[in-house]
Amino acid sequence: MSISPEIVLSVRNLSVSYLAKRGRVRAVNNVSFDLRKGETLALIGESGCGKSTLNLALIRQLPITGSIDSGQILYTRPDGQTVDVVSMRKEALRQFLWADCAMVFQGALNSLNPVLRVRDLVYDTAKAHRLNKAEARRRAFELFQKVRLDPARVFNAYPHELSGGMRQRVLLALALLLRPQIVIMDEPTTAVDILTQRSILDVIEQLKAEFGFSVIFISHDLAVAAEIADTVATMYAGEIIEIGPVDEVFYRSRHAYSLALLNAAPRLSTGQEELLSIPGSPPDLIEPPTGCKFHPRCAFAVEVCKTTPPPLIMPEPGHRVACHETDRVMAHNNRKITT
Amino acid sequence: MIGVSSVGLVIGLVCGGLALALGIYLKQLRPGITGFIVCTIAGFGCSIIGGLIALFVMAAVIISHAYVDRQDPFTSRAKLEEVDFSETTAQSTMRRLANFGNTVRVSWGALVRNKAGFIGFLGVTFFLAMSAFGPLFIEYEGSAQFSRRVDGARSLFQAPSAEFPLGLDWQGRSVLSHVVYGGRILIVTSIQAGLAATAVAVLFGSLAALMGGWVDGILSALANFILTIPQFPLLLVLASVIQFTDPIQMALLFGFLNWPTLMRAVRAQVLSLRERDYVEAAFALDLGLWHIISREVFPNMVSYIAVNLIFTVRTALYGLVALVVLGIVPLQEPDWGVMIFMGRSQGALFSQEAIWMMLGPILAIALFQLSLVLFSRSLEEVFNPRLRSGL
Amino acid sequence: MTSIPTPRPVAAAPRRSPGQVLRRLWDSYSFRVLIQSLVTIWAVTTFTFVLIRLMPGNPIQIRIDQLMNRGLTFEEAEQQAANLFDFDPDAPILEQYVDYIGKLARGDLGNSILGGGTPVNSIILEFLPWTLFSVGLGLLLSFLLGTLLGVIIAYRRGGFLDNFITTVSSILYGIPDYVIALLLILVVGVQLQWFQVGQMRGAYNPAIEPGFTLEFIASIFQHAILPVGTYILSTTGSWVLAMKSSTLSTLGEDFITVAKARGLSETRILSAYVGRNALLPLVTRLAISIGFVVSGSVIVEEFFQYPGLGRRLLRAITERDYTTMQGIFLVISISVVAANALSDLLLGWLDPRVRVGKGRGR
Repeated sequence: MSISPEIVLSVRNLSVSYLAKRGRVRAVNNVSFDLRKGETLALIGESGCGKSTLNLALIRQLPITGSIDSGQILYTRPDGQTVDVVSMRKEALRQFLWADCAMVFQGALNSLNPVLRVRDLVYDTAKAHRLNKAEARRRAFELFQKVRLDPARVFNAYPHELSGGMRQRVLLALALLLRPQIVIMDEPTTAVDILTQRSILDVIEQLKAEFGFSVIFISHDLAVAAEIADTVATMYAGEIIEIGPVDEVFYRSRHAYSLALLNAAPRLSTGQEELLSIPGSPPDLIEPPTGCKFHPRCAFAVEVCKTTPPPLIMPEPGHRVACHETDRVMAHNNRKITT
Repeated sequence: MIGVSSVGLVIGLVCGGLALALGIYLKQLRPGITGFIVCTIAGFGCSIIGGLIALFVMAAVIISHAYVDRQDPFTSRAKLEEVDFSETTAQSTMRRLANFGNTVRVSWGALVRNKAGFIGFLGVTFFLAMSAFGPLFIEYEGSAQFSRRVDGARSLFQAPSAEFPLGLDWQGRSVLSHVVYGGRILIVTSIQAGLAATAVAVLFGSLAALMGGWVDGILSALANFILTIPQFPLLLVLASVIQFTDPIQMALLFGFLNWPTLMRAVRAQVLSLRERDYVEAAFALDLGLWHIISREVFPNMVSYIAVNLIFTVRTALYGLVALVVLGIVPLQEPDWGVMIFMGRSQGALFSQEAIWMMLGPILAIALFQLSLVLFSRSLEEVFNPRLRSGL
Repeated sequence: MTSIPTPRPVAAAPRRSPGQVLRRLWDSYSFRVLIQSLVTIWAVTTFTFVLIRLMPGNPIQIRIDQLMNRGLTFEEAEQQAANLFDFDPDAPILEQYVDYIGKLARGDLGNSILGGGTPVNSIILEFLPWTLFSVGLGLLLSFLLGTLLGVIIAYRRGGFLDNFITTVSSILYGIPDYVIALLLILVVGVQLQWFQVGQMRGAYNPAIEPGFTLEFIASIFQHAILPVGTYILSTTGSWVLAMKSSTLSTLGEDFITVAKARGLSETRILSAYVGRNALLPLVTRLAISIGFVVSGSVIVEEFFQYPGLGRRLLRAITERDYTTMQGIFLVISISVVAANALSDLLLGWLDPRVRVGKGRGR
């Protein structure tokens, strides 16, 4: 198992499914990607495409009906040793969580235990990872300062005494308490107003520059993703269908779905432009369509799309895509921008 | 189609049962030949009406089956919401019928799916049917039956036998006959209490929320007050000062003691409804209090109201029996409570042979109360689709 | 765009004018709970005053009628009744009311109409401890047992244990407490003959000298076992069901996932994250439950011949001893109100959200 030392997390052929009454819901299907040191990877897609499931699987916190069916999640420790998160034992996993890979959840109100003060949340986390109280307090104060909170006030507050934006920043600070290499952020900006969103994004950028952690950023807000990400991965029906550098995916989309997604989002820069919604609804993940799973909704679909799942090809270095009609999509993409 | 016929069967049974019960009830009110005539007419009338309703429901269910091919693939229920504006009156009627039939089917399905709840439903039906129809088959034994004394026995008590399935009491009377007759007034009074409590709660809750101000203040304070006082001691004190003579007084008293929980829920619901535009619009249009309560508040709270109604019925039944068992209110046979009271005073608690006289009413009360609890659980599922679905 | 909204300044240190002090006092959760309880107690006392004196067919009226039937004049009859009930018939009703409240406030519940006028206070002192003991013990044990089982089956939902305990709990929840008491007597006492129910009347064996001896304490528990057992059997079911659903909904909360993602130990998650949050709704139920158990205690004590306040109340009622009845009813109501207030305070202690300003419930 040798992966480049640059890479902190390497996901290989990961599949996750839920057990439902009607059958197995294949929520994540054969997903692979690498995350380099200090890189920000944005996962975009409609709700229900498997983004959140993928992230819960990365920290092995799937609900009781969900399970990882196959694949590896290879994590490289700072000392260069590589471990597979999927096969970790309970105690090793507990140590891995938060110390190596922390998570900022969406909906910050529900993410904080309402009956505990912020300081208890800090001390609980510290105690679980053998960090002494004084040091935890020092780090917490430093981090609260960095996320532009008043440490003395926040430290002794209960969650309900803080505003939504403040809670989100508390979570962010809490995530960095143990100096993890990876921080997963699940829509950290959805529940807050636009100004708070702005300030949270700035804080993330600043903290990244300082601590050098990698970020997996889940969002359905493409503008936010475009701003913060180095790499963008588009998910559809549990699969990564396009992944590449942010400019490649956003301005030279080669997958019909990525293109459709971009056309469905409002852009401030181009002014009055028609918003094109994607027809139909996300596919049934228990009995998915044959061939390319997007074909029933795809404007570019041809006969082969209905029968053969497209392979993941690499039209350019670092840009991979699973689509039969990359060239036509690409052409459309260009024409759109010129008009 | 098995589903349809079983649904039809049950509905027919219930309707026919209602007719019979009403007939018997009326016959009690008017003894003699008048009563007989009234009973017969009422019985026939109800049977015809009940039969028509049953037919209608069955037709609706059958039509809704025909709509199955228009199913929603995700919920596997018939898709009926999409209204085609070009449809004719006949088509629209058919669609509405199918819609209704679908509701019946889904409700029935929810009722059957919850096993414990269905057992509760059967239990409640059993006790209602027993109290309504039992008297048709079993004769009431009001006076002592000395002829049943077994030679050499010290008392008239007897263990269950083929002839007397629940045994004989201290006067040699069949316990079964008392169990069958003893629940009638109890059940009717409890249901009246439940209805009274529901009516007061809905009225007060809506008033408090819609009027606000001091009306709200007073009603809420009253509700809090009643909720805090321990109910049964209060009931004892009231029953000792006010000498109850009529079951309906008891029903009203229980109604008065049991409205606060539901009233609070109704108040909260109405308050949240008030915020919504359409209620404001209804106000602006001066559609009136009753319209708002009946069209907006009630449908949203059916589940809560039904569950609360059953809860009040249980509380009233509990209190009614307890008052009698303790000898606080005048004893009047037949009554499950009186049976327990007499059992206690006849030493049934301490002697092996007398145990049977108490076991009948005890089991009747326990099972009926239990059935009510289980039934109210499944009712929640019937009315609350969110509980029904889920993986 | 790098200008970032600075955090809100810390709330300025409060300057305390008298008005603000009152305001803060009113905003304090404990103070409001206390005031509400006092108002309820006042309402209960007023209610009994109205019931005994003013309602048509009230006990005083009945007494006067009885005495007049024996040939007394109205004045004589009224005077006798007034002596029995300890009030001044010539005073205006408002004055009588003030007098009554004043006596209550000094803790004077009057004298029993019967039995040579024993003070109601001493009657209550004799019987109250046993009710507090048996009801308190029963509730405590059933709460502990019920919440424990509830958490366990919530963690093992769908399994055999879950199905079994849930079924048993539903059955116990559905059956009235006096039916459970009767079944206990019939099964344990009459059929199995484990206890001689008839000999277990009273709170302890009168042959044993009261004192801190092992024998005496054993006798107390032996006599309390059936009433306490009834309370446990009749309330544990509802605790189990409530705790199960509360735990299940807490387990579905985001903060539990976050706590797991933070790598916290399972015991810490169970106690401070699942347990504490799942218990909150049950604390509110505790208040309701106390009312129920106290209500049930009247019948249960009567069935087991246990010398508690409930049984004494029943006796006062059947003997038409209205002052005793009134006194006991007041004490029972006040205990329940106090228990309610305690559980409210407990909730405030456990749930920081309840404590803040008024009207900000959950």
